Amino acid sequence: MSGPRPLPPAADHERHDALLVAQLVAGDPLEPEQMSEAQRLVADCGACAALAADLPVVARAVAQEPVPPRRRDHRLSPEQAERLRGNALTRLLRRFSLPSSRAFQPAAAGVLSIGLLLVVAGYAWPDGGTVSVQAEPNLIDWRTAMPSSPAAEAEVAPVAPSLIEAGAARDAEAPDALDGAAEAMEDPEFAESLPRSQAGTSEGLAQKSGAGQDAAEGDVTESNLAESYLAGSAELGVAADGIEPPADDEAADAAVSVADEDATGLSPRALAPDDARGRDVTAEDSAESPASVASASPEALDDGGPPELLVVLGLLLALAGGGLLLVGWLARRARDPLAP
Amino acid sequence: MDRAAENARDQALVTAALGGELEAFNQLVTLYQDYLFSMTVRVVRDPDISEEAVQEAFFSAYRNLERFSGPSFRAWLTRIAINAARDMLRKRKRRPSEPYPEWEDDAWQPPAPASEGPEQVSLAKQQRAAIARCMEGISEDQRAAIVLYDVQGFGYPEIAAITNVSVGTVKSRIHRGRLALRDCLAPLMEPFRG
Repeated sequence: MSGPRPLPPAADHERHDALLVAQLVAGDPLEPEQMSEAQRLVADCGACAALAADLPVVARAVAQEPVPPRRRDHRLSPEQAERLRGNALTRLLRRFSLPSSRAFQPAAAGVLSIGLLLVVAGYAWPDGGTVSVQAEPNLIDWRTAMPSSPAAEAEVAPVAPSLIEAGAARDAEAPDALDGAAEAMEDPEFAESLPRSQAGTSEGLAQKSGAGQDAAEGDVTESNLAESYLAGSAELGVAADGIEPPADDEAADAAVSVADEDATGLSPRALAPDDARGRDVTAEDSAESPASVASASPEALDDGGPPELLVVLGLLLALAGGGLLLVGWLARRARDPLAP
Repeated sequence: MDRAAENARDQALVTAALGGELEAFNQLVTLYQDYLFSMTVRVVRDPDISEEAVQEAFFSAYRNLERFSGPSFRAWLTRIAINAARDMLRKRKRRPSEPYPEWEDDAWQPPAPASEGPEQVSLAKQQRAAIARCMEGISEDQRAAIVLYDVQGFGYPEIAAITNVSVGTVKSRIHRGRLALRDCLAPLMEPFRG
């Protein structure tokens, strides 16, 4: 290695770009102007020339610096290896933190977002998942409006006869069936066999059969039908705002039909033939009644449609996404900070 | 052994180690423990910390062997060891200790050639002490970059990947570090030039 060229240091050497000289010496790619400037500095300034000569010497001296010898053997023992491998959970979490699992977190966040969107969409559904009373007065979902506790049933019981009376007008066309039901109600054995929830309505049914007879005699009019309908709504706690008395026979029939069957929990028309055969009415029998109502007007009583499905699906997705995000978070926490 | 052959050998050992062969991993340890120690001790300037860093590096490498995706196991291991060494250094800074005397201790120094007279031996000792002092005077980042470039022979892009900075930053650290070393060694440069 030759020493620095015997050039006097330039007077303004302090202002020279030493970094540029270092880049030239290291062979870094330079812009043409930078290259010519660096070459000019080394050629014209003795101090810059000395610097250019010294930098490789420094690099070589660093490389030749001796280091103390290693004193430990770092090979792993089987016990250390077992400890480092960790338990099954640690290994699983480590797997989730691998670069190949990088798409896992955004996917989990996406699933969570979609789930939440579905939940929001389910709740924001126009009908809110239940049939609107205001929109269709005749489509009241009596099953949801109907109290289920014995106390509430006691409150409802007096209402039922009025509704049944109204419904009797519709049933007046089938006096034979009603007669059969009335006979069954008068049978004490049958009355005892009724579940408690229906016991209060047996009297109503008995009255109903009487009312059916009255109706045949023309006691029930359109106006008292509507009044009893609204009274029933108020008693049951159902918002009846905007409900107008049904203006025609068809609407009145529909309202009475629904109220009739659900207020009692028994469908007189369904009940009558069975009773006529002397079969006991059981809880299963009464459970059939709403189904028969739903089949009679599926659009009116459809409460298991898209909104509920969306909410349930959304909740499931949100739970799945949240769970995956949690696993990802745990995996990040379990990740070795030294690992690239 | 060229780099390609070295990489192929290491990849085979990694595959075997992933298959549960501890002996394969220990072969990798045997191949690289001297290299890792000499690299980290130049960076952290403390043999004890360096030993701990190398140990941690091999532990971490074993735990995360599945993360190795090639091509160079040496570079991957170097990155882990640099991270471990810096981690140890940070902990040491939080708990200041006595200056490490071993760099001044000649007991571990390689024996001087028989042809060298006492004057040359003394000069060599002065040079080593000066280099050690000046290396401690530059920043840890500059030191790591210079060691990886001038001692271990990594290229700019490899150093950028190992230290997780841009190539421009790597160049800047190397050049500024060298300029600082040259300034520090200026009064003693004549023997180095010789």
